Amino acid sequence: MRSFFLFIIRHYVVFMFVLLEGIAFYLIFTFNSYHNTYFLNSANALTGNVLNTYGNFQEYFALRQVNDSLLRENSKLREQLFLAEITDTTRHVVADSTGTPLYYYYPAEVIGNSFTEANNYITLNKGSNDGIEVDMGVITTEGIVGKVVKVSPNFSMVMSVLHSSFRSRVGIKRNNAAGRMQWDGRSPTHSNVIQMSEPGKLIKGDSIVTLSISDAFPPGILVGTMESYDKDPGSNYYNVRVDLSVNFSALRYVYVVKELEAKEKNELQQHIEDAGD
Amino acid sequence: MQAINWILRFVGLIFLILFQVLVLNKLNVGTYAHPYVYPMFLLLLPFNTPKWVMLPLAFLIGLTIDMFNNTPGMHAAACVAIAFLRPQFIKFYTPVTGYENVKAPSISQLGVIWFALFTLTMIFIHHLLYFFIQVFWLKDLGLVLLKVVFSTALSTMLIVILAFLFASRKTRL
Repeated sequence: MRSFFLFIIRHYVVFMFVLLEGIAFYLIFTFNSYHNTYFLNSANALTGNVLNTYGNFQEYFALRQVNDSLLRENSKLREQLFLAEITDTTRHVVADSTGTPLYYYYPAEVIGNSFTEANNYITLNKGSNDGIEVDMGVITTEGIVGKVVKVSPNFSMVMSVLHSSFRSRVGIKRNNAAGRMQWDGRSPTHSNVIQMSEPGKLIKGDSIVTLSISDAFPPGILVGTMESYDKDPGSNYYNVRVDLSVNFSALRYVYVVKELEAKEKNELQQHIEDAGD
Repeated sequence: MQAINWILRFVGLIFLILFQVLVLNKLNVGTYAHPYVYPMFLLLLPFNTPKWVMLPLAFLIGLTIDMFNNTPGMHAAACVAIAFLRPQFIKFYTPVTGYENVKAPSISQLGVIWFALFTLTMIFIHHLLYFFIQVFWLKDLGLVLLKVVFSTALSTMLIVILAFLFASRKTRL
């Protein structure tokens, strides 16, 4: 026993190295999948506040740009006014033609944003106190941004479209040909839509939008434009490369979308899936 | 003197981490280059830093960056590895005259070439590990190698420039 301890003491550096690497790899394998967002910490008090303070400071330098985007947003909102009925400043209600509310849009500010990692997250300055819930979609006026994966009382974490686990059903605006969107990790300005069925001919430059089958997003939200496509070898599907409409390096203001009939829709979908098994 | 040096080091560390998290991480240099300069703190530690200080310190610094980046464990793993390997590379790069009177890696005492080579090696290992750990999810080897090469070049350049800025102050101490 004595010699065992002496052995450990003599080689303590190696043991320490193995122990620390063990902890690090435990963290890597435990907390890097979609549903294990425990560690996702930029929503917690310390990092959230550092990012928030810096964001406040940085705002002054971005005012011009923000003005521009607000102007653009204003004009877009005006166009949508016949659909949207703004009840208060903390959320916007989007209703259908009979007046039944379909979506709430909660405006939020981006205080933390990564786009160069293999898995990117965005931190927002609104949390469960403001009505944000997990699995809500996040959009800007330019297009889709991601999905909420974690909320704390005052902050929330969004899994960006630039995340290896992000999946969404999207399609071509012109003819609703649908495919699955997922990021290949290459470039923060592009993403891919795989397994797109295509009855007609694909056209470069086509708008890719969310469809009514996309969960968490309202239909018709822009994703990007088709840059190129190729046929998936051995199947009749196409893989499409999408030039994303959102500039992830300049994200500032976003909307978190609450789908009011999400629960009903999910239950029905679950029901169909269960029946299919 | 020792205590003042350590306090300055930690002040520098806070600035390095903020610079990394608030400036560099928001920079979009291109698909392949993602500079990480915060390991500079580990490179500049005195030669006689005990390993039982160095390894946990490296782990904590890596974990701090991980917390901001939402990359649990990835930076920590890369940092612990370079902290563990550092003494071997210091030995490997021993100048002909040895390390007489030199207490820590510095441009003013060991020269730019020594410093750049040492930084390049350590940063290369750090980036290699970091980007390969990401591969568990990306599965794209060529892309990772390109990222390693371009990011290493950029990080090394930034660290040497930062070291120059700090060097003038360090020699006065």
